[in-house]
Amino acid sequence: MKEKKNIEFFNRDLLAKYLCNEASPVEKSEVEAWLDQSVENREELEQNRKMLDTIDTFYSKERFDSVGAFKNVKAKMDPSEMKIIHRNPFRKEVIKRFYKYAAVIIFAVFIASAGFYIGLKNHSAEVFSEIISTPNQVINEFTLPDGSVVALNSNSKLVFPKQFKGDTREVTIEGEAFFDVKPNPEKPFIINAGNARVKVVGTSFNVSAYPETETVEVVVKTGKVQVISRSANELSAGAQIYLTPGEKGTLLNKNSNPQKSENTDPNYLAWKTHDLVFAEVPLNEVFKCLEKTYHVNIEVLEPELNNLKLNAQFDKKPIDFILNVVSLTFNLDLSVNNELYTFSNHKNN
Amino acid sequence: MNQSEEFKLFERLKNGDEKAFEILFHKYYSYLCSFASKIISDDPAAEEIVQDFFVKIWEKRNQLKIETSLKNYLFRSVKNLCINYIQHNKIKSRYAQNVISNQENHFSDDDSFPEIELFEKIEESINSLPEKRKEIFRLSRQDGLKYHEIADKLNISVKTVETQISLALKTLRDKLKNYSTFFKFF
Repeated sequence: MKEKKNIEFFNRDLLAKYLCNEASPVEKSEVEAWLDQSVENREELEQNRKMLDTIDTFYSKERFDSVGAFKNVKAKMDPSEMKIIHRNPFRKEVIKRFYKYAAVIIFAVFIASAGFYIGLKNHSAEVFSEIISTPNQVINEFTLPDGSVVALNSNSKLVFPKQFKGDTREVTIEGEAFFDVKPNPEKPFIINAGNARVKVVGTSFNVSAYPETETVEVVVKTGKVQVISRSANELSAGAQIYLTPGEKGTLLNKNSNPQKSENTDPNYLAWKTHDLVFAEVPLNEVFKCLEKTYHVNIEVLEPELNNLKLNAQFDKKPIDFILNVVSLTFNLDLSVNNELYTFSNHKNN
Repeated sequence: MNQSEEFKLFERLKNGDEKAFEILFHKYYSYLCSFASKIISDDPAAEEIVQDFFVKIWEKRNQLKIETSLKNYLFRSVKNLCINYIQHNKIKSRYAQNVISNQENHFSDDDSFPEIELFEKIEESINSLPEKRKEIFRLSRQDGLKYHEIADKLNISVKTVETQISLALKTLRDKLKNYSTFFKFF
């Protein structure tokens, strides 16, 4: 006759194996025979099983990062702001130089007028308005019919309907713009930029970019942005990324997937804010940034001056003030002629 | 955090206190996600559901009303959101279908959501295990490795893995014995 065993006398290793699905058929029947011996034994097994289940839940929660998630939730709680640039081919030179230091949203360059209204074709019955900024003008605050606010950099154009009808709010941008979108979950905000498309749902952003050949960059200030590669299957993994504040999305060309990185350029909004920060930045990059921000031309007579590194912060200062600070900092001569500023070394004069 | 402290936090949240919202978020977020992911078997979707839910809590904070407890409210809401998700996306997993059929049979499950405090006790108990035993146990439960895989990975014998897991189970069972009535299936 079999001896009755409670858990204290039963082989614990065997029970553990049974619970971990490691028991061989022989071992299984041994455990099952033990289970049949008493209700208590069965209860003991059940308690162990429930405990392991709860422990598994404890472990599985570690897959979820509440700190990162809170950033997302916070972004959705706040009104959203973002900036988009969609440049045309005439400004290609500017872009090339600009790329080296700027991490802003640059939408692909595709200005065929046929493509320009692509995003609006579903709304052709609506009446459109447009605002256009001239080469030396920044329109800092323009309020759209839904209360969203747009800032337009120079040489840019925004087309929007007089009234947002239908299920979406759609606008088209050419050039560079910063959007502060009013949340409305029922009516997504969509920005068309050449072949790029940006979708904003509620308080978060979705950025869709459909570039033909050029790089697209997106920098998010607040909110959440979705960047989708149009050419790839939209459902395939990697064809879309979500960006949260401080992140930059780059879509190199139509054959690549969008890539996510940290935005490292503190001055990406300087064209709008005129707030600039330079931390150990070489003068040539400082000047490129200033040229772009203030629409001036700056040159140096001695190329080695470009390697000097500037540490400075300017809040809404005029360009003359900034350049004078640079001149005093490095003990350089500064001359102005027809909006061309020239720096040179004292020693050469 | 006991219930009355939690209730105070909840009142602060209703009055628009973002800090209170954040504390409650960090307390419940990862549990709600693992709960949701268990139902819909999709981590990113689970996170999306829970995050959107918290955004909604914040937006509707004035209208929030808790009947039994905050914990039950959170878990029940997330469960309902998961059910919507299952029906929308036609998820066929057996677990998902069980959740649906329990729902249809008006099976009340408020009591089946585990107490967060229990998890704190579990963490404490696991941390009390000797380092090596803890690691072996973690590889088994968290990573789902088989005994022989753990043995290969740590370059030890299968017999050692067997003994260590058995000892870990015994320790945890002893330490958590008083809580056994709280063990619930999610």
